[in-house]
Amino acid sequence: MTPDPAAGASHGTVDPAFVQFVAQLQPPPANDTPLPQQPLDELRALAPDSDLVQRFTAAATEGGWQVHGATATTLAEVIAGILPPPDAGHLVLEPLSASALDDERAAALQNLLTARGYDLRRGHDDPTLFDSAAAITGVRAAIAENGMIVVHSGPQTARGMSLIPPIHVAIIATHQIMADLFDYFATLAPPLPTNITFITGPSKTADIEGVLVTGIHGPRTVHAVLVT
Amino acid sequence: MSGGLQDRMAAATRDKRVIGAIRLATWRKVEKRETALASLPHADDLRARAAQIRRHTIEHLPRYLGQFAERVAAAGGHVHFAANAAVACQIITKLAAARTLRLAVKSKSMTSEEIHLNAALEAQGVQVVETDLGEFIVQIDRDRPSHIITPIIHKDRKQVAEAMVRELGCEYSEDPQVLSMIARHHLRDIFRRCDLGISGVNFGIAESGTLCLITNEGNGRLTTTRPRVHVALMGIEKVIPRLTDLPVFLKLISRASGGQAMSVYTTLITGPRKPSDRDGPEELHVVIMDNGRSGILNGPAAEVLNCIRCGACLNACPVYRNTGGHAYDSVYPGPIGALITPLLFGPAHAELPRASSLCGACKVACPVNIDIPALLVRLRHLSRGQQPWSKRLLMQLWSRAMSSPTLYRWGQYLLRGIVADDGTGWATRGPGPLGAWTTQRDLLRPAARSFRERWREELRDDA
Ligand code: SF4
Repeated sequence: MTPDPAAGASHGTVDPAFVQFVAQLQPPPANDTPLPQQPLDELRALAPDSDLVQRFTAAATEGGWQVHGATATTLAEVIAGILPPPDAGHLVLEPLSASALDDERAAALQNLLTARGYDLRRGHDDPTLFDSAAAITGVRAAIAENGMIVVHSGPQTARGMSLIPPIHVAIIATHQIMADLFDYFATLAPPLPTNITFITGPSKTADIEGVLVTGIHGPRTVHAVLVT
Repeated sequence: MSGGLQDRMAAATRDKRVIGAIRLATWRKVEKRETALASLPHADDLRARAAQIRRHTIEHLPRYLGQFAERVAAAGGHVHFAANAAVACQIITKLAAARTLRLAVKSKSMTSEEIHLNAALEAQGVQVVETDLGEFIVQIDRDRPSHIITPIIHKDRKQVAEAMVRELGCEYSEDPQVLSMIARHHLRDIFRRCDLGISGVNFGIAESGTLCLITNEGNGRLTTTRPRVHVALMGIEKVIPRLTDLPVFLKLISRASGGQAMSVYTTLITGPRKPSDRDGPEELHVVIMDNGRSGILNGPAAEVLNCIRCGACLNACPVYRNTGGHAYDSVYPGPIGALITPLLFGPAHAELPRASSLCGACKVACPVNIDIPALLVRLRHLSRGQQPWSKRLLMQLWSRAMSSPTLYRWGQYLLRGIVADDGTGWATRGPGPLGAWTTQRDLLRPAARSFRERWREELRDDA
């Protein structure tokens, strides 16, 4: 899988000393066997026909997500119910095409939240993110097996959106939920986005005496809103 | 800590408070690991698969390293080669100097500990801030990490609080939540201003030139997102062939580390920021380091290169649990450290493979099925000339006795005579050559009558 140069990256370099180093390493044994293809189905944690919403909800809750259900019509109300009051600070919102938070939904949400006194910002230079009260984003996929969401960097999504604000609200269409981590990797094809991140819950540490503390660097509170 | 291994281990076991804390923490992790793996379907098959992928990769390392470098470059990254620690430091300090980078943030990387990168950068006037909470505390308290995953497993909240009050001028608190938020606040300001991000690499994917980074705190994401330049440092053994191989490891590594299904953040980075991206570093540099690894490649312990640094063997090891990490006097403690330290850093550490009871708990714990005890025995054998005479004599006597029933029986009589039963069942100091063996172990006193005698006199008839 070669990264696609057409994606806009200029070509990098390889230190000739590295090429030389690799060339003098002992070549592979003569009875060279290729690595067999993954018999992934035999190793799955979860069958594709499982109850994905139920499994996602259980696993995500265990990981520390607050999981909410919504429909297209109740989405804006559900989100308004999750958010801290408007005086907590501005919100950042990014629509994501082909997700549960496409342009149309984002616009509707923005209208409703603005009417309730929220300051919503679309542009997210770094100070906007650092000083915000919460971020609202779509996702690229969700995985039922271990209650994760998947976000990609790209023209619509900054890496910092799901990382810097203290609260992250992730909007997930139930049809975006895949059963097993293997299913997600089977969908990956070049060109890869620069950054793919799997998130299983709030930012955590247990470095001090093994005591669990959330929000050490990333969001302390994470909401998963499942839209049917 | 100085002195020989024996002295260090003996000194470490005396610090009851620290050892108590380490025992508790590691024991919890072992329990969580066991529960997490027991609830994962096909865990054994996944482990076998992971072991197979690692073995295959190490056997074909030139191929996958070559491909990996080519694909990193195709994605816009720059690949550097460091034959040893000094070169690795030089590459990174030069990068920083050429771009006048002043403030570096680091996410936890054992490889960077291995080369003492912070000191090298600071000597060039670059401020380096550790951003993993544990490593941050190690840094402000001028301490050393004692575990490859939980660096301050040897510190209690009081020590953390004292270091933070002293170095950050904050209010005293022993609440881990409060202490963590003080660190967050302090580090957030650093993250706003930093211009160089330094990370390790958990896996390098050859077919796509992708770097995989696994963290719980999110500091790894900030470190690879905020600064203008990202430098990733990895050993040559960190590659795996394909993207589809990665989930096999992702399903295992965090469960093995501490019982999480997966860490909070798993990040796949392919190249530097593209013109269409909204944030991320403009430059990506991948420093691939040998530093002794290629010497292991064709040797008798090449299997150690399969290690994915999950830390499970440390938690499982009774020696680690009773001495802590510092007694190993290496950035890599525990069973894997006892193997890899002498292999990487040479004969000064040749006695480390003896810091094991060979109970096999590490092998059971290892998610990639490395036969750690067998490798420890192999390394012990290679360095047996350096054993004290008394231990060599004891082992020779033992092996002679074990191979002859008559000698074994005589030995039993003899031992019963000199290690008398005092009612406790244990002797803390053995006689003669046994003295060396019992400096950190207690000797089980011989029973008043041997099993053979009891068998002859009373049990045989019941059979
Ligand atoms: S040897 Fe195995 S258990 Fe120990 S750190 Fe490496 S992968 Fe983990």
